[in-house]
Amino acid sequence: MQSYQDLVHEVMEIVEDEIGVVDPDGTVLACSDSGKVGSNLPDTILKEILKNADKTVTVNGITFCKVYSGRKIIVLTYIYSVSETAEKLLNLFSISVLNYYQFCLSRLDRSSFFRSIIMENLSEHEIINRARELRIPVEMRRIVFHISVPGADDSACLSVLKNMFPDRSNSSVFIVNSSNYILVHSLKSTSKHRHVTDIAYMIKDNVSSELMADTRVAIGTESVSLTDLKKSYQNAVMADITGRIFEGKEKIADYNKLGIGRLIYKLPEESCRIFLEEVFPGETYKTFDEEMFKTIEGLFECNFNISKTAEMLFVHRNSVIYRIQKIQKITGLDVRNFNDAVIFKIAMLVSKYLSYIDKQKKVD
Amino acid sequence: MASVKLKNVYKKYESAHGGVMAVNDFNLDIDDKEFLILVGPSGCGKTTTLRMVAGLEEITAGEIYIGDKLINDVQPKDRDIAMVFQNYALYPHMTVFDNMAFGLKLRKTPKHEIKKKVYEAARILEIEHLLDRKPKALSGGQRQRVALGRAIVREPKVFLMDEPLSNLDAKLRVQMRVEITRLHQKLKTTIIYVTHDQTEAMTMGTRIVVMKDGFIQQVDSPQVLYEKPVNVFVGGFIGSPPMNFVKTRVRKDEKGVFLIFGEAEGSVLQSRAQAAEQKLVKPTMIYLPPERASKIEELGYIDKEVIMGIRPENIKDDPRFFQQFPDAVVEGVVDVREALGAETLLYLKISDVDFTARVDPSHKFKPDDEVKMVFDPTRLHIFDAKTEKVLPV
Repeated sequence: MQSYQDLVHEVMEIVEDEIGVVDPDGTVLACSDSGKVGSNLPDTILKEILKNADKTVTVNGITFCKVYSGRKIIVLTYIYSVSETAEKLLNLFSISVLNYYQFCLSRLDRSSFFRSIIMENLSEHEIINRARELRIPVEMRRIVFHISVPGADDSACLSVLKNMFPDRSNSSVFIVNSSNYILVHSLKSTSKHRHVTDIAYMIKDNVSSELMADTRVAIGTESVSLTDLKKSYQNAVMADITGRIFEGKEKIADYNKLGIGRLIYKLPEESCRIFLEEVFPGETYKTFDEEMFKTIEGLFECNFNISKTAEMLFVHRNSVIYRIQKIQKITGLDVRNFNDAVIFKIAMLVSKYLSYIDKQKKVD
Repeated sequence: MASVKLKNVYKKYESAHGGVMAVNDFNLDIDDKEFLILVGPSGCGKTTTLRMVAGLEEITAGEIYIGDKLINDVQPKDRDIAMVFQNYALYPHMTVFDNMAFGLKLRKTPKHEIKKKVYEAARILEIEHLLDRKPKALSGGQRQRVALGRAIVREPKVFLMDEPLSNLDAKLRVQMRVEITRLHQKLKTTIIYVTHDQTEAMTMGTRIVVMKDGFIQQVDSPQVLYEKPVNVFVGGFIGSPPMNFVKTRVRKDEKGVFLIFGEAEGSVLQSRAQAAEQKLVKPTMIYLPPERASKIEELGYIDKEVIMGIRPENIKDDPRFFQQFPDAVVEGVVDVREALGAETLLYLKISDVDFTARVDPSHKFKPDDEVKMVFDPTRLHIFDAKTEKVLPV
């Protein structure tokens, strides 16, 4: 895809004079002398051009042309020359710039731009250039939400999300593929992570009630620059997958709170299988009943305090002890012992992960 | 409007070890126009049950009917229900009217119909004067009403509400409790409401389902649940402050059958120091009225352990009760006194067991005061120590 700088490069082959594009604030967006990109036009010159009602203005030996979209000046083009031919060339160049701008509007609006950053392999240079053209701040706190709404009408879902976040300068919503949507949301400098979690819950509840559809939301990592937005998206996707594997019932998955699942997800499959066989030879864990799993989870939640666990599970203390003994009999692991408890917990997570891998293999 | 029926409904979340049963053999008939509350601690399966009725969660087994129609395979959007969640979001750039109309527009409802429905919902919610305002200009309560309005305009057969008041501050929550109850009376529709807050359940529902570990524990009116809990869990969950529980033994002597706790014999002592201390504790005995005594004897509980439950308001300090039940007088020490204005809560140590009593605020008990109270023996709840189920006595 082109940028103003690409256009300038093409024109440079036929025009010897310096030619360029300046935004209405006077910043040079593109120039045949690439060293000038990012520099500013003197205020006095800019004021003189803007004050003048004519479309083409000559100041200090430079011909400027105002490029309009409707009544609004989108950019100024200029050529370091004053002649009839130079003006003609500048007008032709301005038409190309306008065409390019309109192309950007239709194809490269904010959402498309964010989509490109996340889904395509844009270079850092391209990201920064296009952000400048679209007047999107490069450095800003942003977060990516990955939203899954299987079975819902795509346009209705997009409409709900876009109306929840109508401020286009702070939020961008687009569809990744059927049922999956992305929200790129800017954060204030004072926003805490709690605010991000609240947004995720709000999306889940609002989309569910408007569309009567099951909704999952995964939260990526915070990015401080557009150049690391893709990473935030990738982390949101990872949070979605690990959330489904390890916390299937939960509808919100936060990359920052994946816990030990994050590590297990990255382990090689073979190592996982060997580890599981070592801890539970012959898949002994499959003989556990639900009460036993609830007891183990309760023990972890209550820091292995049997009385508290019993209270939380609304069972007698002796029932908890009995279940612990049963687990020990089957596996040889005494979950009251810290080392055994940790091994047990990891083994259970590994078993969930392998179960997910097996399912994926069947689907493939 | 419609009834809802859940027949042998199960929900199992699959996992490597075979899965976790979130809802177990759930059977319930919800009447047309009923305000039914699902209540229970976190993870008991109440939200999962609600989501299964909505169709947002697939059911593992069983049947769900709305009216006479089996809806197991009906898409959520075609079930003619509306959901209200905890984390509602109003569209910030839209007026109240547009916020309420949005869902209908998505469903391609004709304009004149949208207008009619929005005005009708606004009338019911008494927010007609707010229709042109933006959410920013609304108070918390008004916003909540708009959120309800978005569900009302759909005119669903059933409303499903999943902890809609949990995010509100205490004052607004009380206000909205009344609003929703009033709304139910106006709309005359079926509402299934999920909450973990037993006060909400008690004050709003016509019937309450108490759940634990995916199982229904008890289904009844708030008053019956409060007065006749079927097990220790329901007794402890319903009521604030909760019911007092103590393990006691049933004994019999020449005076009659009594419950005793605080006796060293049979206690589980964990250290010598504790044992020495325990010996100093004076046991407490409460004689049962003759009718209850004979029933418990008939059931073969003499000398057996039971769990005694007593509500705070049934620990009396009124002189009339001392006269009426002289064999149920207990002695204790005031640990903490909480004056709440209309009532006073006394946290007592009786035979070294903690109890909470709700007494008249005119009594000026102080911490460390030695007090005599009466355990109203007609209001004692007696549960089997192992099954924790109430004994029919």
